[in-house]
Amino acid sequence: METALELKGLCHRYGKFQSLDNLNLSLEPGKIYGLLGRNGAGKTTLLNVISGLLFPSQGQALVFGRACYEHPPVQKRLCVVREKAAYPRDLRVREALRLGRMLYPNWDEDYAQSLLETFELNPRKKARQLSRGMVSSLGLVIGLASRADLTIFDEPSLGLDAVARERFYDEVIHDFENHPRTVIISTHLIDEVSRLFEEVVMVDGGRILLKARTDELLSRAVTLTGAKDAVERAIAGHSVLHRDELGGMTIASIVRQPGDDYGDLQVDPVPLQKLFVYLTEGGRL
Amino acid sequence: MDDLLYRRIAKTLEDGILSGAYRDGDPVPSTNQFARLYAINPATAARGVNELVEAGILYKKRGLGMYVCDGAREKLLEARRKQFERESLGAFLQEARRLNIPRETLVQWIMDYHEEENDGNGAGA
Amino acid sequence: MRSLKLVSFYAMRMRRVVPVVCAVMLVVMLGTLISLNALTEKVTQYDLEGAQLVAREVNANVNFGFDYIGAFTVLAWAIALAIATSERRLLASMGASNWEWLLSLVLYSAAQAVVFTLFSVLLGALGRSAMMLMGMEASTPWSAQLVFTGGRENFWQDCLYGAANMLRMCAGAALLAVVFKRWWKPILIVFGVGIITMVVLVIQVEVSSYATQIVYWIERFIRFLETSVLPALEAYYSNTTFGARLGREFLDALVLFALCYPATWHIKNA
Repeated sequence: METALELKGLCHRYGKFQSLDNLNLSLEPGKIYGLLGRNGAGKTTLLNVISGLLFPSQGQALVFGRACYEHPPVQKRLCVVREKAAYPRDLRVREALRLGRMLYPNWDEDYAQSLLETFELNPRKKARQLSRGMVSSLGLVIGLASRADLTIFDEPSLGLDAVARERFYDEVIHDFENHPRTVIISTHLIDEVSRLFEEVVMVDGGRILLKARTDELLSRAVTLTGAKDAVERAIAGHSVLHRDELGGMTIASIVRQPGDDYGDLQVDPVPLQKLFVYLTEGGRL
Repeated sequence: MDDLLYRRIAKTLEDGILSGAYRDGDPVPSTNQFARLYAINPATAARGVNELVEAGILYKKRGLGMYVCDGAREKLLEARRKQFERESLGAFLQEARRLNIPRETLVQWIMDYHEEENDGNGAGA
Repeated sequence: MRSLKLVSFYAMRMRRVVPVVCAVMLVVMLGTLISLNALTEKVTQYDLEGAQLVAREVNANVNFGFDYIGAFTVLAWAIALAIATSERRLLASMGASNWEWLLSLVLYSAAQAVVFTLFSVLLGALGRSAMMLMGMEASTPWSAQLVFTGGRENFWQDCLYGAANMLRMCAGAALLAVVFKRWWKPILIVFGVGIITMVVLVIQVEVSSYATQIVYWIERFIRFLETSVLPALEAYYSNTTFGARLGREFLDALVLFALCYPATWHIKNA
């Protein structure tokens, strides 16, 4: 089975700044992946290199086994919805959809029309008349209706209110069920979106920190709360991700080990967003 | 760690079987239905369902979906009883120790409480 | 094929511009005609010589055939410019390759050239019909052919050449747009250096040896252009038969369009 996305020693530089540093990754088709990273971690650069708008200084980014650049048979299987859309100011919503219909072979026009209603987009409006949230919504409509084998959403939630965001998550799952494809969602709203992800890729400083199943990641670490001594005893010999002290109480997040018994201590899971923050601040699983 | 999504789905199904909403041989909602309902990844929902399949609570009928195994409720009751003893009872006694309540007082409270319940309703649990 | 679909996409995107421009040209033309008519009437009332003058003017206009092809050519390359800039970026962001963009641009420009030439002819014919209906006189008696062709000898050749020229202008505009987008910094630097050099040369300022060196090399470069490139261009443009002129337009268009592809190779669209 072909991999949906493969990165082989991928590097990219902006002048002297190394934005992508020797990335190696392999994503199987048919799953929803999360791409998590701070601002400036290299997520958008990575997506632009994958889709051929930027070029690697070294290594390769392969979509279904081939580099995207100047290769329509592969380009038409990839749809990247960007944070900053390149719509001409006078482009109308329905014209953008027309273009999508022309370029993406799996395009579903009926689905696109129903999505316009779901996201409350006026097809006659021009790009310059759209608010930030509406521009995002247009991108989502195109990305969803394209039914591209690999669909990537870069910060899809920007500018969207809670209602629109929930509708987007519903649509992703609904459509994924009936028309499975490979989806990558890059986002800052980690806890909110993580329930969509089967696997998660974390990037930081142009490198990949980890790639793991979401539920596995969520059970890898725990937060222990209790009296200082008891907690210190329990966390001895463990990788400590974070520690807070308040009076005689300690709250510590650690990486679980097999056979751990935390006794009387309060045990809580570590939400994905917290885990991400700890890992980017130097914690090690 | 019941907060984990897949565990919540498993628990929802378990509660449904225990309360009698799903009887032996009844169909239960599919993985996809759960995924759609909670807007979560179907693989996560599947994990919750699979846990119950492995525990012998649910079984899969090809092409039709998930069904409740015979004797599922009893199995669940048994498992929950063990869990009650291990976790709830343990936590209960721990708390009592922390508050310096002797065992005898606890037992008396339990007996009295039970009696009050009976007097109140006239019917047992 | 996606390139063919893109042709219809460009047409859709430009569908507002063309009627507006045609309408403007129509208004300008009719306005000119009406004022010309009024002028003619005024003059013939009073002065025979003046009437002859006006008649000659009208004649000249008829012979020039209300030539709108120039205006349409400007419109054509402005559209090509737009397609080579904002539309190209849009297409790239939606996963269209550069060669698909270029191929569709070529096909669209060719179709557009044909259509615009036709519009230009129709507009001219409309103008002359209006003149005829208003009772204006031409140097020769009115006929269907005069209305349609404006008395031009090589009408069909002029149309063909006009269309080919329009195509070449589109190619040039597209290449210019892409080259400038990609290399505007070096271009401006060279430009700046060139201007400074010219200033230095003209006012013959005493400059440091460094600057003298640069000026020397630029002079040598200009001389090279004069001795080798210029004669070649002169030879290329020497043949003035219709066939050669037409062929040159097509060849130029082909070369300019073709150069667009390497100019966009690995261009950063992000």
